[in-house]
Amino acid sequence: MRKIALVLVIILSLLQTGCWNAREIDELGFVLSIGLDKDENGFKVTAQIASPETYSKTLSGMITKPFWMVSSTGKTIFEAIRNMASISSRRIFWSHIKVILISEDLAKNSTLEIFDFFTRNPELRLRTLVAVTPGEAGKLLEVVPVMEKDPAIYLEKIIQNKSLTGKSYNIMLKDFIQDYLDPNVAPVTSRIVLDKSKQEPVLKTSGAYVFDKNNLPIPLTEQNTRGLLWIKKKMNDSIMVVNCPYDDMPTSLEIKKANIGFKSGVDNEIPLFTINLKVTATLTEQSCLTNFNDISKLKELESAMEEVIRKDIQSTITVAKDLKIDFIGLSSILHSQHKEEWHQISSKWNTLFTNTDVSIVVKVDISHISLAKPLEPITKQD
Amino acid sequence: MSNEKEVINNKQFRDIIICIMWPSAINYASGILTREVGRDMWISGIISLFTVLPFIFITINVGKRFPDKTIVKYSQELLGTGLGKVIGFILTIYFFLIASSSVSMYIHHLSDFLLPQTPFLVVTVLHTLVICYLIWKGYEVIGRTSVVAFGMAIIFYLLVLMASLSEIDINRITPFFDSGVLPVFKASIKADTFSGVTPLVIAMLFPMIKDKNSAFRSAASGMFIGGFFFVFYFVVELMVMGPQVVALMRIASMDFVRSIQITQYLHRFESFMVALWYWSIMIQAGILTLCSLEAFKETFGIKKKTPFLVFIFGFLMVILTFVIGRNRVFFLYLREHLWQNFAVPIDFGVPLLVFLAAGLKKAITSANVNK
Repeated sequence: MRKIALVLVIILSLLQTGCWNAREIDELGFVLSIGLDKDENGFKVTAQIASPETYSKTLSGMITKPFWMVSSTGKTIFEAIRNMASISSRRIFWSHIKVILISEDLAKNSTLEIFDFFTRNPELRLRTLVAVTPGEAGKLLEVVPVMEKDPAIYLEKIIQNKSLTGKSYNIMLKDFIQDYLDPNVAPVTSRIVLDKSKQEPVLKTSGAYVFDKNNLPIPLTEQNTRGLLWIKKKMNDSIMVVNCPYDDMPTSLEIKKANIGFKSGVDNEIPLFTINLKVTATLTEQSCLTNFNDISKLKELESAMEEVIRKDIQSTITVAKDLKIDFIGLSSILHSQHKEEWHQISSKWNTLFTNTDVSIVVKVDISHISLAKPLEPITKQD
Repeated sequence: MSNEKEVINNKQFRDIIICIMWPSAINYASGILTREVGRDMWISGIISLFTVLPFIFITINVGKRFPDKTIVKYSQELLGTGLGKVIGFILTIYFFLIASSSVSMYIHHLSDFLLPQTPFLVVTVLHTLVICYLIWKGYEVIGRTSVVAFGMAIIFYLLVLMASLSEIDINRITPFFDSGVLPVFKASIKADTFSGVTPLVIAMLFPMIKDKNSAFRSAASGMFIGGFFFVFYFVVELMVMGPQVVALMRIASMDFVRSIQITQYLHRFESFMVALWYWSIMIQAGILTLCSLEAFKETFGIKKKTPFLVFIFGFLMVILTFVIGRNRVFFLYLREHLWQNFAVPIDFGVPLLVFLAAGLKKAITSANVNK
């Protein structure tokens, strides 16, 4: 028995399976973000690769740029990436990628190829964020942020901050593909723009992109994106600016909690929906002098906020109907609640969707206003 | 002939059953079932448990009449030597094929995601060496290891639960029976190809069980625990990724693990999850190969388990795994479209045949006694 064990140990030592796949860290190019643009050959791929030295706790010598940018072209994405090997000394490693940024031009033509590659790749995480930009994706990735070491982390964080602003959207690759493959729901991605109004241009999230039936990206405004965020229950910790009911001065309200419920039905092939939204908010800033410690005045503010939210949601639904794209996901709600009726009308959904009747019921509860009385200037008495 | 020296207690027996039920089901079954019935695939998984349960009952019922014999031995007594040996031979091949399928699934996990450069044959040989060691050591060692494997499975599922909580969307599994009731029941036949071998394995293990009177309780609890594991995984997979994405994937379990993370700090923990999962699939492959070996010995009257025999089985395992597992397209086609054509008749037909023969024999014996 011992002889057998000894032979086994020798054989196992020789068959060191790890060695075939051994890749030292200094041989790998850790891709943090990737930009995809259209090229005359097909695809232009720009990869932002982390420079591991800048993440070391003990930096020595000069502080170098924390990332490298590598670009190449090819007929397919995979060919473009492999062509990087001719100019990159490190092998591309996908496991830490955070954002896939696609130019609008490319998204108009090649959505299937893009997502086919990323779905098949076993290294890539399905949690990778997907975003589209009206500009050139490769150029945007070169913008060096002030607050973070590299653009990918900056981009990831500003996309994930969607609920703080209430004006942008985020989606992971797995959720994008789920919506992309669903014939009745349209996927929505983040929209990244370059804000040149500052002294140094910065990347900014603004609105969203909806992919229509032909998978062409259509931009969504910030207001319509906010309506979408309400429907998707992604407005927690967000902000609403509502005009004071008495003097139209702006007040800021922070959304603490938002619960949404849906009821659906079909009447003579007209889909009917009722959206019930319950919002808990806190008054964080007011420009007017109204004392909202007065319950009746607080109720007026709540009604004003309810109206603003209702308008936001309604405008998003109107846009969806005008575009004839159900990016809100009303089909999923109807399917979930009334599967028999859904199966009868599902083949006609894209037509019936434009006749959808949606009623929106919003209930706002401003539970906290921080101050016992408004901040009034003290007038000097002569 | 049973191995009189080997005894496994009921807890080990239960844990072996658990290890048979879930590791390969979460691997390929989720994609196969989702392509069949979409978001209802977890319901098909539950239905498959209740279709297997009666066959576990009848297997144990017959086994109690032959407490020291495996199905191979008592089928010769009940059906005649000729037919009994045919059954024994079929079971030898069948157990071996399922074991090879288990080994292939494990290697696909490694080769496709973690060790893409390592040749398929190398990983096959290494894993087969471990299986050969297990079968050489026998039922008791496998039983004791299965207790550890069960513990690892619990850790595995706790991690899955923790990592997926923030991503769960219950709307992705509703409405129930969206594909219709009949298609969901029909799809449970494909689910049975992953769990249906359980009664036959019980029939091989029965002589080793310490407390045979509690065997059904142990087997049923093992089946339901193992079944809960894979149904839970199906449900969470659907809720996190969605039915369209699960249907797209060949090995949905690994893609699921790529979609989740534990807090901001434990991102890529697929390797860790594979290490936890490996315990159970090693037991699955080991026990199935051992059942194949024992069926072979009993069919052909070989009394002793020799190293040469173990070596031959290991060698054949490597060859068969290479043949069926190296081409992933072929393997998926085999598992998805062909497997149920022979698995279902064997899984359910053999226990039923033996049960009917036992019943008939009992009736004839009673009639003779009354005369």
